Amino acid sequence: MEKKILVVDDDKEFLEELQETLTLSGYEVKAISDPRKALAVAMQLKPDIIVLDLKMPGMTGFEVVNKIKSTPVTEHIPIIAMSGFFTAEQDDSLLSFFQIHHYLRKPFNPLDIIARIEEVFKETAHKRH
Amino acid sequence: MKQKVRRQINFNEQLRVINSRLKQEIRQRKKVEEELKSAYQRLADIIEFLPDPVFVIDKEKKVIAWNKALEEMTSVKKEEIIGKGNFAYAVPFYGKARPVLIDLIFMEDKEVEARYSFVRRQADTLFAEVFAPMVYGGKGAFLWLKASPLYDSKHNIVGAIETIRDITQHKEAEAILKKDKESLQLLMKERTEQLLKVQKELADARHLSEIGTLAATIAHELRNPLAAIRTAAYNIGKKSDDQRLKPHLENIDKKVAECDQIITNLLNYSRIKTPHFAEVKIHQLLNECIAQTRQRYSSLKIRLRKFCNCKENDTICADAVQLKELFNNVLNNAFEACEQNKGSITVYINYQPASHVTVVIEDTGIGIPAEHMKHLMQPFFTTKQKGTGLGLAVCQQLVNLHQGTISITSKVGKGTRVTINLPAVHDRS
Repeated sequence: MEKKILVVDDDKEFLEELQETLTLSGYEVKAISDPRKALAVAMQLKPDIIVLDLKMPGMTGFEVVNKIKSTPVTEHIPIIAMSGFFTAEQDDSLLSFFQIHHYLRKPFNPLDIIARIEEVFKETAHKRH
Repeated sequence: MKQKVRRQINFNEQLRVINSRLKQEIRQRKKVEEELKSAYQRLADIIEFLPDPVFVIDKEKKVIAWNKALEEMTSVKKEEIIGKGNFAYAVPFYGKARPVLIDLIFMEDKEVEARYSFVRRQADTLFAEVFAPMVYGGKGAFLWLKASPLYDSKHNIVGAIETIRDITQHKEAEAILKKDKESLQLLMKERTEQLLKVQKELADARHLSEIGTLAATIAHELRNPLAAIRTAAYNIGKKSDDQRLKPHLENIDKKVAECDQIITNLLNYSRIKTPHFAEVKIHQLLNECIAQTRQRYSSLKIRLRKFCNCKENDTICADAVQLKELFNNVLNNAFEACEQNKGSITVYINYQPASHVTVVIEDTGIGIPAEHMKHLMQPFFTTKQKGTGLGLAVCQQLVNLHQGTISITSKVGKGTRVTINLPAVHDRS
């Protein structure tokens, strides 16, 4: 069965391209640009992974993470965060506080996000065994 | 007979008159002599009791007066010196019999003049200033001297007089004043420099906070579209089998990475924080930076050599992220200074345990013109077409935060050497 990925980003063109990249890599991708809808979609879709922009208008990525992590149906879903603002080294502690699994700084190489997704899947598969 | 007697009486009378006149004259002369003697005594007394030391010589240059004040100054009694010549009067001042200021009344002598701080002439009087080492029992004193000729009624020089004044206290006060003035000037200079520095720092800080806000906005606003461009290029490559597209897509990817580097530099410059000190394996860190830059400039084919006296596990106390930023910046510059297939880069690491590490990064590239040297560390100074002018400004700040030093020497056409010194230990409190 194809792995399901939910991508949340307010930049529509980027969202479109990332959706295409991940689809080309063989994932089933749901892309949404309104962070306020993220929780509802996640609850319904139950994705294997959520890829999330941290800085969006209306609701920040951190708020979205908070909601997902405090909802029983979605709390176990691994999250990969993206942003053009923070640097991974600078905000390590912040990211671990919010239980974000990986962080990618835009404009990352698309191969990097595929590698990270694969890493997360390997980790979860390992945990299940 | 009668006539003879009369003549005798007349003669006697004349003799009596002459005698009386003579007596009168003698009395008068005695009186004048006494008056002269008393006048001379008065003059001698005046000289003797003048508050300033004074001596007088005659035209044979023999001492004819040496007053009490001078006796006190020189510890030489007048009985010992009156009547003496051959420059004997110089000995109590300078320890040597030689011509002094008073002799310049009779003759000109540049050599004698040169012994004084200065010699000034006003009509026939000479003024001078000197340090006399032998006076006051060898204690020495600064003296203000005045020498004048003495004339007779026909205006012939018959001698000379020299008056002396001890100006040591005055000189000392003058020296203190001069010192005070100098230290005041120095203090003023220091304060002005401090003020200018603070002013510059304030301006820089304002500048930086403005850059900071701007940088944060640019970072987010620009990195999102860059991410879309990069991903789109990737997708085109994935979807098309057309090999002709490949170099163009690679160019897009390369340029996106360049834009990102510019943003990173801008952000790093405005967001430099207090270092997070930890034990950093310096050799390993440098190897990582070298590998990273080598990879980045792999197309240039430049030789890089490394000489190192430290082991893999030797550590210094530093912020690893900031050090990487620092070395990457300097290495990038070194690579960019070298032309395709030309030049080489040498990295020297001199590690002194518990003291410091010196990293020298040397290239044989194009070098930096002398007129650019003083601007190198200024933010936004650049000669590169695509540089932000922040690379070395960031380096300077990072080195400062680590309490280290960075220096650059360069020769156009020969190359550039950057020397970075970092302390190995830090007080983490």
